[in-house]
Amino acid sequence: MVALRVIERIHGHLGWLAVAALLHPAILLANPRRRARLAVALAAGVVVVTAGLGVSVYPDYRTQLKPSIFATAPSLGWLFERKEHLAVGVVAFTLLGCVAHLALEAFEPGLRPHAARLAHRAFVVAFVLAAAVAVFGTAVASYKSF
Amino acid sequence: MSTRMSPSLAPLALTAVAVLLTIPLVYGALRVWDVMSGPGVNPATAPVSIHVAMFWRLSVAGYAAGMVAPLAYLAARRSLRRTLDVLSALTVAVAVLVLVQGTLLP
Repeated sequence: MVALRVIERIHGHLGWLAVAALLHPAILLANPRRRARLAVALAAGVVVVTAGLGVSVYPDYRTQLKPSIFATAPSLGWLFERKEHLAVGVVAFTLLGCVAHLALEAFEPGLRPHAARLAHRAFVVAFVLAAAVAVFGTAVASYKSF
Repeated sequence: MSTRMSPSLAPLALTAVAVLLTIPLVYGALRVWDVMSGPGVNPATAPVSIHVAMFWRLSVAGYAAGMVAPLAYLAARRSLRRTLDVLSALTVAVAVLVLVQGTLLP
């Protein structure tokens, strides 16, 4: 139980860090000529680690917390469901943006602005989704946790 | 700073992009289907099942993405420009689907 609580806390804090880390490329890559490989790779790393921790405690959340949250505060239970669905999008769009940005130099010069726009778009989407996930997750964790 | 990179990586990168778009697309579509199929069990009273719906949806989405991969690679080899344009447009469409499903159809 203590281990779960620690993992959950780390997951929550890293989640907010991921939001900040995603904001960086979402702003920087608005300029299609800008290269920000380190920022992109770090953002992707933080998101993947955060998601991994979330997935690792998810089965215990289902058995230990989910039924009682739905019994006492169904709106918060549904908020957690929203968070889990949006989190899938966060991981996918972050990795998508990361791949598109890191592979920019593989494209011929005429196509690079198009690929850069794709990467920027993906990071903007990932940031918006991650912000929602962090807010929803914090709301649920403030109500009940391990 | 520019890094030299083999042009043969471009179709592979677009394949990865297509795979990464397919996963939330299929995941969201499966959840929409679940919700539209009728009221599910009450999570407050239903016995906890070993079947984790989220992991199941992710597995199916991963499988579908694996099937999309060779098609995306062939499309990218044929025309990088068109594939890039299609994937850019799909990025917006999938983002809208994820947002709508995630917020309105949890």
